[in-house]
Amino acid sequence: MNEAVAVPPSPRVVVSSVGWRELWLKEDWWAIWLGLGLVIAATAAYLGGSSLAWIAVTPAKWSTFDQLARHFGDNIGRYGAQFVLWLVLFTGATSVLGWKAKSFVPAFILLYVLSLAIFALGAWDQAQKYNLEPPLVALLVGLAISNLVGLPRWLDAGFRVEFYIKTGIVLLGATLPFTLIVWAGPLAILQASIVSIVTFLVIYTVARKLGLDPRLSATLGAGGAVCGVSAAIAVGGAVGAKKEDPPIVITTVIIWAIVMIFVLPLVSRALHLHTAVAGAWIGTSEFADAAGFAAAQAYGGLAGKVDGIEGTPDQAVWAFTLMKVVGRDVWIGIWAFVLAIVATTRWERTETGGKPNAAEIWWRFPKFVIGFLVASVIITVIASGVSFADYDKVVKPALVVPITGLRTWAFVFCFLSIGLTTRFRELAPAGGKPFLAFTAGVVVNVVLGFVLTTVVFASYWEGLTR
Amino acid sequence: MTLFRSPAKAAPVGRCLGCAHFTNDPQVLESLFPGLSSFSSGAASVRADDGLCRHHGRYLSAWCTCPAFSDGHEADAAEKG
Repeated sequence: MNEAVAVPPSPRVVVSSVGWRELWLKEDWWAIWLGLGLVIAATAAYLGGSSLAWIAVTPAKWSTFDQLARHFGDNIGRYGAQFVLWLVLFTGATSVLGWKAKSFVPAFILLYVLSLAIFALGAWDQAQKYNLEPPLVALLVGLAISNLVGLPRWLDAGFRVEFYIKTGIVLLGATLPFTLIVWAGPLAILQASIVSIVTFLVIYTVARKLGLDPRLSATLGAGGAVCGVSAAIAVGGAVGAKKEDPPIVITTVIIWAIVMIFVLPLVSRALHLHTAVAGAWIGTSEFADAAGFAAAQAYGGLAGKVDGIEGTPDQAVWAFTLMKVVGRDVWIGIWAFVLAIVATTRWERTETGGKPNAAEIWWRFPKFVIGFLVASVIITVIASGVSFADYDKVVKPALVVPITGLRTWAFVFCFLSIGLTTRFRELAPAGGKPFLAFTAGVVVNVVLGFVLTTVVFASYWEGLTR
Repeated sequence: MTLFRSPAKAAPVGRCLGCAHFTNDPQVLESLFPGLSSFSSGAASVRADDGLCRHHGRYLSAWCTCPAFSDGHEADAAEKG
């Protein structure tokens, strides 16, 4: 292939980031440093008789603008300190990762102000009446701004969807008992494996029947079966996809992921699914972590507010996390390694080559999961010698609630960033055949995921916190 | 098959990681793959060191090898030409 027509001109920059350098050159590790740093700070404060509650401020419930104004007036110092904390942490991390601070800072200021407004809207006591679930509002506001108003491209430096969600997931680990991960993890892996393998085979088979290249077919299949865009770029690289393939899969995943953010909670609501069951279904059938958290958190927010929906908001997020993160995400390295072997031994040879390396399983491992597990262990150990009464009375308000508050902030940053970075007119054309093949997988995935979650393993998921 | 080769060792001559045609900078990839940053990231661990080969027009592992390997001089000449 002639270089002159291969790829648009771009700087010839090469970054070697596996091995020890990964510790500061990959976002996953920075999510661990930031997330675990906050968990350790919260734990140290708790053990010292204090708490991070002051800085983990979130808007309180309000019914009139006077109440809201009074809340912000009384707590302006807390919000200011929190903003500075986030700004320093995220600016420092993204600077090391290579994003310019002069681009990140103004973008993050905008992001924080919008997040605060959405947070405040979600705390309105009439929000439920108008279906104003913060995750969905954040997404829609972001989409409206980026697609109808438009923002300068350089502001994307501050809209780091994955960084925020990974940091939030590490913080989430601190609110999820490790015993629960051990108890529910195996089922999550079993259910996720069944659905992932079936979904991959459906997409791959349909794509091949439609005449698509095996590398594109495999990249599409991984995008639908494992973890969306992340799986697509992992597998695309492992099998040596054409440069046009990842953008095709990215577009397809984005369209379906955004559709599912709204459809899955809507159907769950219509069927009055238990929040844990809905969370597990969303974890099985959503295509991206960030999208799934938006859907699970939105549905969990209905618990106790809509008649017939049992469970708690936490159960929706926990079940989703177990299914998506533990059940699906952690296996991406193995998928990539196996498909790399298939690509080099079974498919048409390309000009480039190389033996698949088993170390790729580790290189591609979503490292933020380690932070999630460590955070869970830390809090579980802290809480292990405490009675239920003391846990609710002392540990929860002083340690768990502040971490939950910070986690919620990280998630809102993420949900807004999804919308702010998704410019539909800039996405590559998906093409009819790839979209059709992916859609076949979506149908099978959603139906099979629903049956496994609500029929086969329903009692298991409903007993998540028993 | 060799298991767990250490990436700390310099990429042998011929590997994409050391090739002038290869680009794997996270920000460059995010600009070349629209939507990548919406639900993933150029700096994600799952991407390892994969990048874009501008010679073959492929997105591939940094550990691939290729007869068209260039240490830079040929590619510079081609781009200028």
